[in-house]
Amino acid sequence: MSFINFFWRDFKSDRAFNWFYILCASLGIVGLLMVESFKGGIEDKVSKNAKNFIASDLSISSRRSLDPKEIQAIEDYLAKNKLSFARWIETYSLVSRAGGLEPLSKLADLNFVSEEFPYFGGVVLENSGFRGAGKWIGLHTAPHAWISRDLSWELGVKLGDKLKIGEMEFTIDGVITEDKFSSFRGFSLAPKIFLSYNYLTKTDLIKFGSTATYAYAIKLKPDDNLKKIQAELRTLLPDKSIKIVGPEESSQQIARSLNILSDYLALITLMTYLLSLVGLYYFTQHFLSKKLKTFSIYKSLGLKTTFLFKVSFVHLIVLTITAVIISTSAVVLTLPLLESFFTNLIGDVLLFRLGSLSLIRILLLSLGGSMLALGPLFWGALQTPVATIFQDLPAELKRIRFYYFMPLLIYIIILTIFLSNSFKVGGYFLGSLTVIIILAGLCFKFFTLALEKLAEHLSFVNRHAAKTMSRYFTSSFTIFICLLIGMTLTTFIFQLDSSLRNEFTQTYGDRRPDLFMFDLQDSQSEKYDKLVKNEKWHQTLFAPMIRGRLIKINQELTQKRVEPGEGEFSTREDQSSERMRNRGVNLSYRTKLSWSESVVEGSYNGERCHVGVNPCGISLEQSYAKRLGVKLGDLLFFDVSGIEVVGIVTSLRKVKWISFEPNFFILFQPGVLEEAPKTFLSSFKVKTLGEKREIFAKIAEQFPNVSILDVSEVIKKITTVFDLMALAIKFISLLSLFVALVVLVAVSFNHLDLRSREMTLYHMLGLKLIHIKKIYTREFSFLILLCIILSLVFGSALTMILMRFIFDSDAKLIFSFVASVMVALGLFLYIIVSARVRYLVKRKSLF
Amino acid sequence: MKYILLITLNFLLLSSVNATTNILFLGDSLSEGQGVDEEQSFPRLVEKNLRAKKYDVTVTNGGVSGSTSASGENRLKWHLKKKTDIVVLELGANDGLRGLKISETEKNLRSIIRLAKDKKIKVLLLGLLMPPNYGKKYTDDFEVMYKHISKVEKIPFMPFILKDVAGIAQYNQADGIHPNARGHEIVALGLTDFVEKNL
Repeated sequence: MSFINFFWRDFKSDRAFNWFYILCASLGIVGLLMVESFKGGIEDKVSKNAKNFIASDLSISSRRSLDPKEIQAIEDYLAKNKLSFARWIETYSLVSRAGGLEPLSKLADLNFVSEEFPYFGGVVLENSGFRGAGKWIGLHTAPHAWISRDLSWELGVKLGDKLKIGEMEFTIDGVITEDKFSSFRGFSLAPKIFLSYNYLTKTDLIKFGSTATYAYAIKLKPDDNLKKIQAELRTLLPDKSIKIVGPEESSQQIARSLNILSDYLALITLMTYLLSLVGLYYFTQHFLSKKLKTFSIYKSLGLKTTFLFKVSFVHLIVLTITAVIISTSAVVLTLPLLESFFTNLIGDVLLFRLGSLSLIRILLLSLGGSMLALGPLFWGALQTPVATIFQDLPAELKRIRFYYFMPLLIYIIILTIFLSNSFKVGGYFLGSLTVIIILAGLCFKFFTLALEKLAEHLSFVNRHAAKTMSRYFTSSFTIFICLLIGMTLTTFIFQLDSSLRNEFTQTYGDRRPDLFMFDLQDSQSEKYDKLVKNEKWHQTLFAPMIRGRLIKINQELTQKRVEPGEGEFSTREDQSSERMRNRGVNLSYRTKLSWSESVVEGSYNGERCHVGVNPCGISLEQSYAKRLGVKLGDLLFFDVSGIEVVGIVTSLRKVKWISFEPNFFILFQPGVLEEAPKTFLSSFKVKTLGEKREIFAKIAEQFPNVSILDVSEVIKKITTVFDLMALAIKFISLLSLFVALVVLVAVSFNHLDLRSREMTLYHMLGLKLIHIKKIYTREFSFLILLCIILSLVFGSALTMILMRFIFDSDAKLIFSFVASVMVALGLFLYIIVSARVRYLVKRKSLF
Repeated sequence: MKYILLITLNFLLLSSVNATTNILFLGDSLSEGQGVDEEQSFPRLVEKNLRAKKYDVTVTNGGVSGSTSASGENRLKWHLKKKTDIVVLELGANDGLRGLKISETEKNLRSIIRLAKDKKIKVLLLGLLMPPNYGKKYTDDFEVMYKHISKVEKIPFMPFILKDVAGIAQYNQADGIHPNARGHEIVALGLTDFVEKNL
């Protein structure tokens, strides 16, 4: 009989296995595909949001005017590569009302843009709605200005009024209520105005001595490689003061968020996959134990073990490929529905991406995992002696050796590192899982021993259940580990989901500031405080700011004696470290830390210090301390307006990077800097536009030196991206949970199927159905109870470890919710198991 | 008696010749030397240059990055806790860059000058210019403000401290505003002469 004939006959004879394998594998693969497509869609969306910031795919910007050679190099390169670009110059200027109105001038952030601008993003105009790519022509047809709403309030102007900008008069053609672009200098110091680049020369604002940011906004073709183009442009423009940035680098916070999201998705992908592998492994083990006799018969008929292994190998490949085809078709058919669901949910188009590369990757991943996890099972089964045929009872799968799984272990290690793109993430994840399995083994051993000792004092049902667990230790341990891993991963998914969503959205609500105010003088603070209290404004922060310069660390001078022109550093790190040490720093003091800070080392002392007795305490932000090379107990000497001030580092703080709260690298203990010349910084949360206008007006009237930054728009732009990420995390977590649920049910069913013969035997011996059901459900209850407790502990611990060491944040654990979910899951399994036991006993299948 | 008088006169003469002149630079990020080593900032270089010319001077760098003229009076009070003979006033640039009212800036600068005069401290005023992008009227008014203060308060005045430095890429940092170490050297050269004339 040929290989193909034999294979086909054998394949057909295992119909139940084939179907279940395809079902279980498909679920895992559907999970992977969904994660992959959602990841593609969300990354695309986030990237597009980031593109809005720079209005293009790539921007070149410089705060000095580019020289003719540089301009030539850029424009030649863009022409050679057929890349279109827009010119964009950002500068500050005083603008005033024109046309007979009383003179009133305000600082404005002027943006002169050429006709190609913007490629991405746009502005919302009060009178004519969203103006995106290709809809800016109205700005260029005449001397028109699109001005921000804040500026229209400040100047008291409306549509059609004229503004004097430089030497020209512009007509207000639009009032901007929302704009998607960010300023080249981060937060804009003044409200924005967009103007046509065609009138730049006539304004006479840009000439020798002018300060401006000169930029090119570049549109890439779909198949262009951003990184390659960036590198090529960098070679042409070696001066590092010229920034060449892509969308991701346009916002550090977004870049960091994308990294977090990628790490998270990688872990979830891996978990979804491992879960489905657990299900497959358990089911194949069950299937093989049934097929051992068949293998023995084949062998007694003269078929070689290697031949049979080849047949099994091809069997697995065919099944896996079928599962990939089925799941891909299902996902491709479902994606449009999901797209429309999510588009409705977020109010913006969200396209799920599933490229051919992703499909190939998933196919290889599935094949690799199945072969390496299930191959050893088949190989072990094929080692069973021919004599098994003569055994009365079903044969057991005993000839599998641990080292058969070494390739699988190596595969998982490589896969983890590959998926997470990091040794650190992979290492922590796998290390934690290994520790969990070892601890789980010890707990289970202890648990079964304890149950056995207690067994004599228990009722018949409980005693039987307890004894069964220790009698069938290997089998019970396998099901326990499967359940535990499934439930631990479920806990982990919930806890990580809560922690990461908290990380992304914690700035919501009353904490997120809308306005920053700075340069309030010491002498004005009392009057200012009265105003804030009288007006009942919601101030979120009020902090003193003292300028100083770090002069010594312990007794060592921090300043490098480099003569002008000699300042060469051996490495970039040296240069950056040196700059850090030489720079002036902002110091502050406060009695207690804000919500966005937490001590990671030492302790924070907010009590008043008595200067002159001992050095007073200093709290440093941890990454700043690291860059300075400073640790607890070090003495730092500052020059504060000509007076030397010393302090001892007593604590290191972690600052929540996403809080948007103004924070300080260096905090002194109160009592040291109160007398030093200082200004105050404050932040506000505003409820309405009206309140914002009132704050602007009253502060400008009573404290003309105080500057106000409206950060609400910038924060909103960034938090919109975070919202998307939070949604992605939630959706993918639910998806993985579904896979986990199916696997847990499958594992439980298989475990019961293995025991069905025993159940029927009890039934035939006269044990009542209710007792049989109780014995097996009780055994499961013991296992589920232990799993619930351990999974809560292990899943939460895993979350804390990963949040701490990978995401550099704190875990936000939701014990009561997760515990409720786990109990519900346990009950669900209990009900399913009871039903299955009832079915198996009623089937009365002894052989 | 004659001998005692001669010794006393000699002592007084010597002490006036040998007394250290304490110079305070009350300024913003330009004086502070933002982005360069404090030793490379122009106040420190002026001290070095004057000492090289055998003047007994001690310079206090009271530059505070980002500060506006509004902070000047309080900061001067702090510095007056120790002996100060000359205040070199370099403030107002941040007021201009933030588009604050010129009349407010003038008021603040004159308060600082009056406080120093009350304490019998000599004030040297350093003028600044606004970049042309701030508009002709504002930049002109800003320039005139310093001249006006100098005239009204009758104090020595240097019209533009960043002469030969502003707008020249090789003497400035990447932000196009703050001088680099080489820029500070050039500023210090002109400033040393100005301070020396007024010692």
